[in-house]
Amino acid sequence: MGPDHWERRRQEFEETALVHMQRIYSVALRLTRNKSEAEDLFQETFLRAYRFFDQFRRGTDCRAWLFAILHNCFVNRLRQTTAQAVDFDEERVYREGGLGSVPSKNPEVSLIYRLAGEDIQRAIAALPPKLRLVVVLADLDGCSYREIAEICRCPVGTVMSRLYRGRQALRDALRGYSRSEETSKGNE
Amino acid sequence: MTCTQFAKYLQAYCDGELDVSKMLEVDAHLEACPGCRGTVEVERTFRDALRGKLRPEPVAPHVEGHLRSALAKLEDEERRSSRRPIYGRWTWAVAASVILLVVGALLVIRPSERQPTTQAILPALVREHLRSARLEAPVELKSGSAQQVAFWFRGKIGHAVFVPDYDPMGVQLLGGRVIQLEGTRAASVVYRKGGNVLSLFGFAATPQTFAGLRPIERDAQMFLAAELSGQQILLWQRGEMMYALVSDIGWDALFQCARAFFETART
Repeated sequence: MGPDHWERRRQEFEETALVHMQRIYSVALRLTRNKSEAEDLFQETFLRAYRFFDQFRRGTDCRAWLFAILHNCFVNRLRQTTAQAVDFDEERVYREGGLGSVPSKNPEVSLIYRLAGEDIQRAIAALPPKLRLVVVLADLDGCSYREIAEICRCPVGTVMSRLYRGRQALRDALRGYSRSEETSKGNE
Repeated sequence: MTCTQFAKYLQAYCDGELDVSKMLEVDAHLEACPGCRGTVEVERTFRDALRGKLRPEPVAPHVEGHLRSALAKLEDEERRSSRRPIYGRWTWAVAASVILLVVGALLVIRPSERQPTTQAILPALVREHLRSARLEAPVELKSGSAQQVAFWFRGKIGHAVFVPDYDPMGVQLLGGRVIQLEGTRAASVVYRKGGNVLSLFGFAATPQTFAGLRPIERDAQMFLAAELSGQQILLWQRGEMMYALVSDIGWDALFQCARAFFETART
C-alpha cells in the first residue's frame, strides 16, 4: 500500500465520516451524563469507524452507520461500567399506561419554556438507556423510526413503543422539576 | 375515527411517520375535533421547544484536536502493520516450513499419533457449529456484548477467551456456550450474519495439533484452513489458544472476520 492509499483513505474518511462530527458529538452529549464521558464516546466511535472503514458500504448513509457504532459503543460502556450485567430492559418500569391514552391538554409547553436547558439535559440523562437513545435520536436528531430501528437493531414497533414511553417519562421528570422549582420559589 | 383511535396514531402523526391514507384519516378527524387538534398542537410545540432548548453544541476545538491526533496515531499503526508483512511473511514462511518438516517427519516416524487428534477435532468443530446453526444447542449465555461473553467464559475454559466484536461488519453476536472438545472444555461463540451462522471456537492447542492442514498467510498472520461437510474452517493461534472460525459464508468473509479479530485484539 503506497502513500496514495493512505492519503485517499484519509480524504474519504474526512469527507464521508468526519463531516458528521457535530451530530455525533451532540448525540453523545445527550446520551452520557457529562462532557468527559461524551468526549470519550465520541472519540471511540470515530476510531472504530476509521478502523472498520473498509466495511462501510459506499453509497449508503454514513451518518446511520456512525450512529450504529455509537450505539454499540454506548451499550458496551454501560455494561463495562456496571458491576453486573446491566438490566437493559429496565424500561419495563415505564410500561404502565401503555399506548392509547389521550394526553389531556396540559401546561407542558409553558413548563418546558420555563425550565433551563440543564434541567432538560438532566431529565434526558435520567432516562433508562434504551429509552434515552430513541428519544435523543428521534427528538433531537430527527431520525426516522426506520433509521432508529436499523441503528438499534430492533423492529419499528419497538422503536415506537420505546419512544412513547421515553417521552412520557421525560415529561413526568420535567413536571417533577417544575414542581420542585415552584416549591423552592414559594419558600423564598 | 374516534378520539381513542386517534390517540394510537398521535405520536406517528406528529413524527410524520404515517402512510398517506392513514394521515388523511387523521386529518379528517382533526378537522372535526378541536380537542385532538389541541393535543397535536401541544405535542408539536413540546418537541419544538425541546429541540430549541437543546441546540447542538459545537465540538470544542480541543475535542476535535484529540480525535484527530488519535486518528493520526491509528493510521500510523496501520501503516506500520501493513509494512510488516515483508518481514513477517518470510518469518511465517520459515516457521511454516519448519512445522511442515517436523510434521512430515512425525508422519513418517509415528503416523498413528498424528491422525486421531486432527481427525477428531475438525469434525467435532463442524458438528458443534451445526448444532448451533440448527438451534439444537442454544447458547448458554445470550448476549450481544463481546465483553460480557468473554467475562462469562472466565474460569470455565482454563484460559482467557478473546471474543471479538464484529458489529461494525454487520455480524451480530448471539452469545456463547461451553463445549467438550476431545475431552477438554472449549468456548463456542456464536454469531449471525444475515441468515448465516458463524461459530468461533477457542480451545487450548497449538498449530501442531492440526499438522497436515493447508497453511495460508494473510495480513502477516498465519492461518490453517480446511473444508469439511460443506463448512469452511479457518484456524489460527493466539497465545496458548487456538481459534477456529467455522461457517459456510465463504473464505473471503471468514478472512475478514479473522482480520477484524486481530485488529480488535490489538486495541
